[in-house]
Amino acid sequence: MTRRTRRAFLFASLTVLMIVSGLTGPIEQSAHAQGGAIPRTTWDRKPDLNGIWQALSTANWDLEDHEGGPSPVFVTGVWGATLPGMSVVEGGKIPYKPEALAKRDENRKNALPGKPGRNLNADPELNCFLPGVPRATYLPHPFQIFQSPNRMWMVYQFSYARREIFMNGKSEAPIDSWMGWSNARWEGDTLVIDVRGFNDQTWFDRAGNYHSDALHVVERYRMIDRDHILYEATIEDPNVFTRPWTISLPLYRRIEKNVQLLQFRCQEYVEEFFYGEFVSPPRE
Amino acid sequence: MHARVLMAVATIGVSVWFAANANAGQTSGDASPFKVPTSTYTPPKTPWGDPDLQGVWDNHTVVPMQRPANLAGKKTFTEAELAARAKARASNEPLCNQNDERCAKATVADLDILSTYNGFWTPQDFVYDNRTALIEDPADGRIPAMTPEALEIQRTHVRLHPPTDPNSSVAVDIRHWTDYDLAERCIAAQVPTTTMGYNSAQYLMQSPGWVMLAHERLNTRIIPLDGRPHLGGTMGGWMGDSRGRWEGNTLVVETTSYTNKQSGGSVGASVPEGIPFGNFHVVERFVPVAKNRIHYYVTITDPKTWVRPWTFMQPWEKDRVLRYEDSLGAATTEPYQIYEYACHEGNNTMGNSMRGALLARQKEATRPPDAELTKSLLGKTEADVRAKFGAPVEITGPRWQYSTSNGILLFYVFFENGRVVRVRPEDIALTDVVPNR
Repeated sequence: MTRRTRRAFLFASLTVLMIVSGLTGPIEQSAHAQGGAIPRTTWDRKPDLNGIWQALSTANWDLEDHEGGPSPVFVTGVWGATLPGMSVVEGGKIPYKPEALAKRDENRKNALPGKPGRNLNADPELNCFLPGVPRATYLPHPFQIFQSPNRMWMVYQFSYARREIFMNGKSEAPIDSWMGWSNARWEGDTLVIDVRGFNDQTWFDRAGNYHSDALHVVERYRMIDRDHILYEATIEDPNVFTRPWTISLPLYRRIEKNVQLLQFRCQEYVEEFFYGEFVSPPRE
Repeated sequence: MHARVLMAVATIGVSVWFAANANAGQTSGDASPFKVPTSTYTPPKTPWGDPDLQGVWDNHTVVPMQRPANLAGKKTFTEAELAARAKARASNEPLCNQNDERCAKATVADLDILSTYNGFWTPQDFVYDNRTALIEDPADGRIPAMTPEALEIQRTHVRLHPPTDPNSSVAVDIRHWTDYDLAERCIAAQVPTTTMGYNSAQYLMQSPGWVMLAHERLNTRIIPLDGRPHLGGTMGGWMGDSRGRWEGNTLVVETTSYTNKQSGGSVGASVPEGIPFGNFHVVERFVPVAKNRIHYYVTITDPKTWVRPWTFMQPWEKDRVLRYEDSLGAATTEPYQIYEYACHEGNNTMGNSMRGALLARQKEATRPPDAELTKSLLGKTEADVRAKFGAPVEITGPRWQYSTSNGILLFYVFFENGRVVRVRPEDIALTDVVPNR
């Protein structure tokens, strides 16, 4: 470990400790104390979000409170274990309608089908399907924000999922999609992205939390110092939830020297799983 | 209309450019390395001082990578020749799925040329290019000779991955998922990429120290410009590991560290099938030549594969306005927008066709050895075929369509001069065919 990475590691550990001690509230105070003014673009003096970011969160296992647990596939031992984590949902619980909660529980049972093949009842992550929003943000992979005057893209390491963000746009989604249709605006120093036009195929996590094609997500990206963004997403879907609800979690800048997104084209990793049973005998 | 005006403007600009550089390809002999022509055009700058090439760049073309033998020695078409070729394409455009007069008169050879099934995928709005081949170096417009070692690797690959018959209505020899090419597997296209046939544009996005290329189909490339070293080994994966820099107004990107698994031809392929990329050194030069035009030069070097490096060029055009016509002829225009390409998510076809191939093999294994196959129809008359199976489900020019008893598998009989000259597939037992009376 070089001195620089060791310092980075210490810094990250400290920040995690502070978050764990009080979740969302204290983030700002601790971050401000750690310093690093918010970087700003030279062209419009807005916060400069350019960089590679990653959530340090177990929200991808379950947005709500979840204990640690064994791997659902016993031969993988602790490699496949569930990591414990506290709810990232404001108020702790997702406000499901009663019938929708039953569907969530059904999803949870089907999340890991335990048999080969393309299984549309399973967690879409398991099939290497595009993760949707906000899940793309807190998958255990980095993502990169590209910001230039009036243009913004986000590219995620998972499957190279990506979104064009229409700045100051009010365009309507021409068709439903996995990653939705993103219109953004600045509210002061907060980037607010309004995302609509989703299909009903993505989940929020491995625990079966889901939505319909009426999903509407409002994301808020607020830099709280040079290397941290406070990320919030308000989720609205009258078919599934009794009211809008909000998740929040910090995003950390990946500060390793020469860090870059690496290849995770997971389509290849599910081919035997999807197609193994249809293989013909090899040609002579 | 707007698109036509743009095309006309581009035509003038490019004609001038080609005149100025007419000898660039010819003067480079095998001994001297090819020099990419420079441009005097100066693009606008980003706030941080890099040339600003951001936008949606289309590279849709009909110009082949290699110069066809019958055009040897001819580098460009005249405007009259280009117009004649466009007209010929337009007359081939109607799909033979519609039983119109032209289809009825079509010969078997015509059907092979007509985009009988997939023509509607391929819009005819190409980025202007008057050349006969994309390859600029060698000057003959052909990929250089391969080394004996590489030829052997390619022969082995092709033997293990026999192509599917382009005239067949079914995939003929699919056994494993790796028999499909990378694009069919929804994994990646080759880098460098040429035209993808449809939805062939890419968004070029810049931020301080980075360029990102979002190809509408499959590839997302992230290219650092800060001089960092390349990744080691094969960490670059299917698309290789790219490092970029600016040389004047030209973006120069060097790519190495490909996985050797990258060896299949596929949609957008610039390199023929069966050549592993593991040893490739690729240099791309994005040369801005006009407000909305880049000349995209690519030099591929791999002494293990080719006896010398080779360079191709493809023109890219920015922020095109596309025109669509519905079946009633009403036209709409739309600026080119990159949409989501959820390829893997909707890829039911691979599993279904693999399963179909497996079932067909199992069925073949249980078929009586003396079963009379569709192949035996070769040379029969129209009357013979009608006597056996009744009226076809559909007649499309010289192609008659029948279905089998399971109601799923179609087969086609092709006539020429009143005799059957081709049957696809050839291996259906005639007892499986339901007469249509």
